[in-house]
Amino acid sequence: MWNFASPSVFISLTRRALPWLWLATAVLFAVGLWMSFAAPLDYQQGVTVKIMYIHVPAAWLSTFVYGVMTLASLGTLVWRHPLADAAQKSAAPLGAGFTFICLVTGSLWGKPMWGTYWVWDARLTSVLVLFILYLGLIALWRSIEDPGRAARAAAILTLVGCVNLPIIKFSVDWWNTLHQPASVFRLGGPTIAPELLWPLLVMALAFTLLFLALHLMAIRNEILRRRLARLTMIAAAEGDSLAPRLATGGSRA
Amino acid sequence: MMALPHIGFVVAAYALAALVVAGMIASILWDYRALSAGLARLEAARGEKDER
Repeated sequence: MWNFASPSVFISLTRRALPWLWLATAVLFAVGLWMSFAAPLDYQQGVTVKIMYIHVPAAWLSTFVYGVMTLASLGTLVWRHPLADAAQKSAAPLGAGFTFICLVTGSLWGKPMWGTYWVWDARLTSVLVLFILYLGLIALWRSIEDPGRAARAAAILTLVGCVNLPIIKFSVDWWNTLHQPASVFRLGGPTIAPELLWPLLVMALAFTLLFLALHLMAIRNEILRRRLARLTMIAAAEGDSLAPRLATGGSRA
Repeated sequence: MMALPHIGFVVAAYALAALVVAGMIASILWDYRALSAGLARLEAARGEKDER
């Protein structure tokens, strides 16, 4: 198990897994989008129900990614594994991206259905807090130069922020919200008609595979960034005049 | 158009999602290219140094 967490083994596995993962993602998106647009319109929402097929998977991913970051944070704090640092750091921008999609598509659905783009309802507000947490974590990673210290600080903030996950999930039950309660993962089974539910599940799987593919690529980048930094320092220590110029490789600190 | 009065919201939502996903993919690919180029330059420079 620990062998798979070795950076070199990880890069080699990633090289083999990524083409298949991208193929599966593309096929699932093609099937999911076709099913979404072939599905009947909702009798109340009309065509705006189509927004659900991207809003709901993005919403699930926004909390799933944070869950992945929470596990990675435990890996950082308990085992101090460098791959856990890389997994946590590289997931934050992806989580922010999916949360942004969730918030904006929700707003675009809310205007025709609720008559407003935004309300300070418990579900919407807690997801906005999640988005701000992601931005805060990205900023924290960028503001501390030493990767080890940055990883520990980010891990602690991630663990503190994970209290927001049950708040997001149960906000619609605990408070009187405009946002509708859970209609898929609930006791008693889904309340959505199967014609609408299946495309939603396929799209959710497509989004999840998309995240996995992007996350693997981003972790690989993080490993390469650290390798580049280490080799640049060795070159600098050996008095290599090219080192300062070479150190500019890579785009994100 | 009358049958689909809110189609603009749907198109905007899908366009926004596609844009964000494309941005995430592009940024990771661009980062990978920059890092690989940096490593290749460093290894080439080390190779030249070893030859000297």
